[in-house]
Amino acid sequence: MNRNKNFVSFVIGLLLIPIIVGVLLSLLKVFTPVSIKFPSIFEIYRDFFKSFSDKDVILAFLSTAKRVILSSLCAVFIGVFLSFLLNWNKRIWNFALPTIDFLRSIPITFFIPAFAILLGVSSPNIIWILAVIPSVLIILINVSEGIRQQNQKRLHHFYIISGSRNKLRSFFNVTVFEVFPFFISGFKIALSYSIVVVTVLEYMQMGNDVGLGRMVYNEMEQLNYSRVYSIIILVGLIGYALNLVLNKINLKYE
Amino acid sequence: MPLEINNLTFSYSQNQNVFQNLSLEIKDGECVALLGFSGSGKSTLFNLITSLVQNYEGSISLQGYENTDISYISQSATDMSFPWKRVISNIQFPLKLRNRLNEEKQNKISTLIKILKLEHRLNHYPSQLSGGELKRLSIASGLVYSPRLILLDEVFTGLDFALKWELWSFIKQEIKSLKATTIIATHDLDEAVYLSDRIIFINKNKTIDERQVLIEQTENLNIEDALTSKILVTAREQTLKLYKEINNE
Repeated sequence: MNRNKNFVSFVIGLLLIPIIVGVLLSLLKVFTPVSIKFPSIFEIYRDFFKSFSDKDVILAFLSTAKRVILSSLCAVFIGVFLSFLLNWNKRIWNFALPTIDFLRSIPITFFIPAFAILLGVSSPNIIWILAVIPSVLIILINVSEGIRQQNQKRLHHFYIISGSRNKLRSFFNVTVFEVFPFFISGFKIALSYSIVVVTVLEYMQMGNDVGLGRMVYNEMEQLNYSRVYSIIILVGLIGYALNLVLNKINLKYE
Repeated sequence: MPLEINNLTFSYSQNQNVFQNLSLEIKDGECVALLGFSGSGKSTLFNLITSLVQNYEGSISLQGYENTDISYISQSATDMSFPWKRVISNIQFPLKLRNRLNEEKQNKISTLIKILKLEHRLNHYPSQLSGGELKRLSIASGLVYSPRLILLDEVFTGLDFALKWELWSFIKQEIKSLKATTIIATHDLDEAVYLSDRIIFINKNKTIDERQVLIEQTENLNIEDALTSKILVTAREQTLKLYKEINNE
């Protein structure tokens, strides 16, 4: 019964997306100055559905999605590893925190020159590698918070029932599970950051010339606004699909 | 003497001592109830015995006990379960960690589940249990590995009297069958007189008071009859009188 209710809510939520997007775009059209030709919602949706049969759009979509997934997975691997390493001891974390906070405050675009020297501006990997940096920091902060907030009484109970104080054992049996909700929420934010960084860097014509960000730039150059917004909807679709996967994983552990 | 504490002095901060030269001896298989005002350090004493808290002065000696022989069941049943594991896995968990989940232990698990009335909850998660069921789960997982030293920290607080009585009877039988040395921290006089052989007090000097109540437990009496028996009624009155005296000094 509960599962049915959840499914109905999910379907209603799904149907609401095009309606909300439609309302937002219509409002934009109403309030845009007359001198700018803003496309109608029908034109945008027409181009959106057309794009599913457009080979170039599909290639750009897959390319952007691949970069987002690569950067997110890499961020998870590095972020989680660093979190546990830095939180092994409270003193180590205290040493590391100023650097983490310092790096968090720097916009990712400022790292472009350094990475451009290392990888080359036209390197196809530069985009996802740059997207890894903010994502790692977000996961690091979230997972570390989870480690520090883990239930000490439960940990103590584990030590008693296991009859040992082996830290590695308690890590795999308790800490990993206690930290999981923090990890998922960090991963979701990191994913959004990843999408933003990847598409913006594509838009800035970094890396090779395939990607949704680059496509938005090209279509804007040609004043083809209905296509610009239809591609923006596709970017949202990547985020939505990846979040759906994360929610499924989270449900398994709830 | 299996549990011997000598001149224990401990403080969380420099200014205030939780204990000041506290000494305590508990015989093998003895069940002792520990009474004291709120904040007198009963839980801290358990944390010190189980080595969760260290950096104390004095000595705590657990002769003949391994780390694996100790069970500590606290009042917070939520903290004593693993929310990502089902009820049955929570009960089996201590044995799995010790690689001792054999047929004999499976029988022990079945018995515990039956007595603690958790049969219909085995495939549920702890978050789906009521407060009473959670307490029963924590008792099951605390006793499943047959500990020899049991620490009960206000375990029965907040339960209705019928469930409380049921659990007291069960715990009393378990302590007896395991021949376990037990310390019970409680504010409940009935619990103290029904379960323990001796009642001791933490006084305002933050040490164990010299005065104590010895109880000669009667066998084969149901809980209602035991609690109204002359021995336990007298012990209860004596305990109350001493408790008042110690707190007013």
